[in-house]
Amino acid sequence: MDLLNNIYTGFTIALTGQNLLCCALGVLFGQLIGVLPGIGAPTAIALLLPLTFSFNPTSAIIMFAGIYYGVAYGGTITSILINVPGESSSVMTCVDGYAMAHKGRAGAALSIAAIGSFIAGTISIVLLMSFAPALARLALQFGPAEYFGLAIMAFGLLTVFGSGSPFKIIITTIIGILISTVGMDGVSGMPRFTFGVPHLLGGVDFVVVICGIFGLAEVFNCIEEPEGGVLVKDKFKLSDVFLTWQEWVDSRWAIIRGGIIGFLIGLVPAGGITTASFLAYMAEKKASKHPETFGKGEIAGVAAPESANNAASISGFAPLLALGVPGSATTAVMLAGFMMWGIRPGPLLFTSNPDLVWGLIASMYIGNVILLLMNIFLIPLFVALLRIPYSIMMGFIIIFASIGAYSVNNSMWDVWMMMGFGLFGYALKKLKYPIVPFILAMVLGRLVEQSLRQALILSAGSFSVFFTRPIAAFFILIALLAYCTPLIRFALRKAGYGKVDINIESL
Amino acid sequence: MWYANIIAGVAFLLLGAATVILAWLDLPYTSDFSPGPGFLPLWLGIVLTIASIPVIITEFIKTDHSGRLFRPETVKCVKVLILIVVVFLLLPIFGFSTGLALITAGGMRLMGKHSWGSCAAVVIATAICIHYLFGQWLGIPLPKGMIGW
Repeated sequence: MDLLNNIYTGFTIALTGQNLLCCALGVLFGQLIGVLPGIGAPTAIALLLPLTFSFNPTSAIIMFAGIYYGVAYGGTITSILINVPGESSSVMTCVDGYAMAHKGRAGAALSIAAIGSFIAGTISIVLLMSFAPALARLALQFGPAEYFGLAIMAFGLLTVFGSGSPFKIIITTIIGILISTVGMDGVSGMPRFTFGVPHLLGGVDFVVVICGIFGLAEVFNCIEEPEGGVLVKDKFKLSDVFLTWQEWVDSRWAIIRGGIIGFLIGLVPAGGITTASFLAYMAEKKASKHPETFGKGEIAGVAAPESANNAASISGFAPLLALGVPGSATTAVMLAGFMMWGIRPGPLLFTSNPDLVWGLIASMYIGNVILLLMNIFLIPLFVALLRIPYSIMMGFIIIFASIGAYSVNNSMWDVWMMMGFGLFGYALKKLKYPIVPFILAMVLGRLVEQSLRQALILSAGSFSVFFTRPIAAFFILIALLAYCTPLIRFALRKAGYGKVDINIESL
Repeated sequence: MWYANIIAGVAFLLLGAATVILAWLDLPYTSDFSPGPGFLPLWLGIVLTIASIPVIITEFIKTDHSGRLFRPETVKCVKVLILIVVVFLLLPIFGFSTGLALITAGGMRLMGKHSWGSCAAVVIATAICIHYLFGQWLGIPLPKGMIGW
């Protein structure tokens, strides 16, 4: 009964004029961002975050959530039509989606992606509603030791799901935490790494960093590596989007499987929507009676990854809302938003801010319906967007990044800092250092230090607190195993089991 | 590319070492009932230093030195960067709205083959939009230049 009451409360909040407008704007904006290669959900949210200082937090979070799952929808369009994934989560969609487009079934591919995302998104919302409160109840037993273990586990899992050198992942994680220590120490009040600069006493603002890393750095990366593709068809009629009966039959289980895989991967901190779409595609290929058709325009090869990435983007809210630990760059940016509005996500959020939580969850239903309709009726509009030259778009990204950084403290110091972090992010990407661990570490850095120090105070300085409390010990064990994964992979390769890589590109 | 990775690895190693020294010298390792403000930075510095070593060694022993750090397009990045720096330095003259509009138009000239006329139109339209959208509607006190915007 409680659940039904909560859903009812959620809908009464999500259906207010202002929240409905924010939801519609969020999904529309997310869809546009997803279509445009070079701008991702974290970039969009990072650039908009400072402009929502005066917003009602519930409306702002509903809008940002809309952007997040809207991007997962939007990235599909470029994947199918020009073989360029608007988002890394749509990489797998390129494989069969573009092949379908070449067969003249682009409309059907776009349609199954939208329908699959809608159904899987709905599955994920229903599971999220049941799962998140239970997770929050469990998290009520968490003390500082458990939170420390949880954060360390999230960092450790990045080495499992990330690609590239694990040492580079560790380096960027450490630098992220290190930057979070700059400024006045929360316990002793002693300034750390400020070098006499008064602007640094308050620390390095997260918004400034993300405006640089996701705004300016992406501009430089896109200038250097322009993405392009050939539009297979530039005019669409409504009749193009209808599916044949056989296509329905071929994709129904792919949608369900993709939805469940996506939901489960989204729950894992650092799991990520790209990993979800990749695993769903591989699972579908394995389950298929005709795996040889994958890569040649198989509709299940579009339905599975698209369903999974949408489900994962929704279930990714569970660790954020229930534990206060973001699982991806986008949710990390949203956590910064929560902090900006003075809201602390975590187990108490469900009791202290039920309007926000249930309003957000209910808005996901509404957002998914809006996205389904938009994806069926507004495809020609999104196709037209592909013609905007990057030389124009680039200027607007710089404008948003600069104003976003400036508006934090109304100071040019932050704009220069944003520029410095932009160059840092550009260098990291160029040298193949992953960005996501840096962002997650920066946002979780204070939690790590605070919980570590609190746990040690409670245990009178004994580190045994991390191993005698079962939940904390479990998290730390997972983290240790995760950090050993590169060694396990290396051993498996040496033993002749080939390359054991889970992810392809997510970081 | 490999030498850039070695330089980056050494830079991170030095950063780690510097963090250890600063934390050791300037920040107390312990406080009355808990680790002090220097505890975490010290250990972060140690881990950073240690993690940098395999990166440097891996790049040193790498036999495949393919992959270029700079491409022809990198020149465009440098031009855009110089444009941004110059405009930011001249913001006291242009003001924030006009300055950012100039970056947009400059980017159009540098990156695309847009005419001077269309760039001028973009400067005017963008400056007006920034001024009214961010300055007036959202109430962000954007720095004004000599022209009063």
